[in-house]
Amino acid sequence: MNIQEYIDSGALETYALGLGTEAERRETERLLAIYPELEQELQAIHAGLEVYASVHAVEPPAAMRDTVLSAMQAAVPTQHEVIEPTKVRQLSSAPRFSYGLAAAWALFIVSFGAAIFFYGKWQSAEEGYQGLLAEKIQLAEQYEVARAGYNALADLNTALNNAENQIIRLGGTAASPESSAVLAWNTTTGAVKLWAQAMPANATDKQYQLWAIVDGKPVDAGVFDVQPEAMTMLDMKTFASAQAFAVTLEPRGGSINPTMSAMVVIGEVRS
Amino acid sequence: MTALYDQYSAALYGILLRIVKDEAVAQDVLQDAFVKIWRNGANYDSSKGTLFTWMLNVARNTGIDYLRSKQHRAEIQTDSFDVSMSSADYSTYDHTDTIGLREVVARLKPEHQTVLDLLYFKGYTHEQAAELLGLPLGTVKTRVRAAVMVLRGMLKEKDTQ
Repeated sequence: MNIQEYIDSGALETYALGLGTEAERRETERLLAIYPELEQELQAIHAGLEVYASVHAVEPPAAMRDTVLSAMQAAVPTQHEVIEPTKVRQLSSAPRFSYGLAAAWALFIVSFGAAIFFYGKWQSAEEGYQGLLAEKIQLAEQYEVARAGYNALADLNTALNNAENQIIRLGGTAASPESSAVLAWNTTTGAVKLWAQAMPANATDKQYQLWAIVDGKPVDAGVFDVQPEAMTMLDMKTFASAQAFAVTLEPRGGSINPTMSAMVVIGEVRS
Repeated sequence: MTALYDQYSAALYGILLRIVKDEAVAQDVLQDAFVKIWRNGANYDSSKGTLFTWMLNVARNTGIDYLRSKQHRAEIQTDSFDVSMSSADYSTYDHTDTIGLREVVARLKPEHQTVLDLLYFKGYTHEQAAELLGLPLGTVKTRVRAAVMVLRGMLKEKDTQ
């Protein structure tokens, strides 16, 4: 089987979109288990589709939050009705001892006891299950955050060790002395990468903006957000030449000219 | 549970708006989708993809099922075929920070985007999309692949993972 041909056929996209016949789906899953390169390709496709979904994101109305959260809460079964045993009808004939009736009563009592016992068991199992479920979802989220953090640190490490990169430390200004950032400027390709995790998180209506000082003039090098929980090595705009780099805090979307009073870090390029 | 909502509601709501095209309906379906996600958390298999992808698929299916159940199906097929994406339609919440809708739209060829939207937002099968567009089935599949490739490329540029 030619794996590249299979990939080129678009079969993995079909699978990722949840389309295709049952037979195609099974075939894809069979191949995924055999070829790790297909698995990798599928992950990349998922990531691409996630981007497509993300760019269409719209904040739902704020009131939705409570509605949805309480609906989710209600979806977890917490109360179960106890079914009352149907009453045994009195026989109209005169009461008299019967082995059959005694046996039936004994059986009824035993099975009623067993029902209560197993009901309790079932309920605690159900609770345990809900707890585990919540824990599992939480762990999956934490894992993804940790993995993203690891990837970001690996990117930083790669940038720091790349001999083509000039590493420039951007120090805090008087306006924000506790801030600092590390910038890796590739002297061959001009690519600029920025590690801004040591800067305070920006408010949602603001964004940081990187500027390259080229021939004494500030040139926009792209905007970015800093969030402690979303670690990332930022890719900024490319520059063939620059004498310094600086970051200012601007209204969301960035500004045409930097707000000099809102400069948080700056660093000079070694010539 | 709240983290789940806070992190993913915008992405899911955005998709549902594209699918059902009605804010009130999208809100109902969003609630259904979250309840399903919460109930079916046990079915999520982390070896088969990220939590986000799984949630997207649950939401997408819920939205598409809604359309089908309301017999919107016939209506959609004769729908004046509106796939030109006007970014002004919805105030876009820039979830990925560095990749914007406009940028994605600018990079995707219109014919690629058309196909992707039909499959992703309207629940069309490849066959239905091929029939509607008067294209061979193979072309539809390669266009989807090309579109996803562009999206992946953008991600790599921005993310260098």
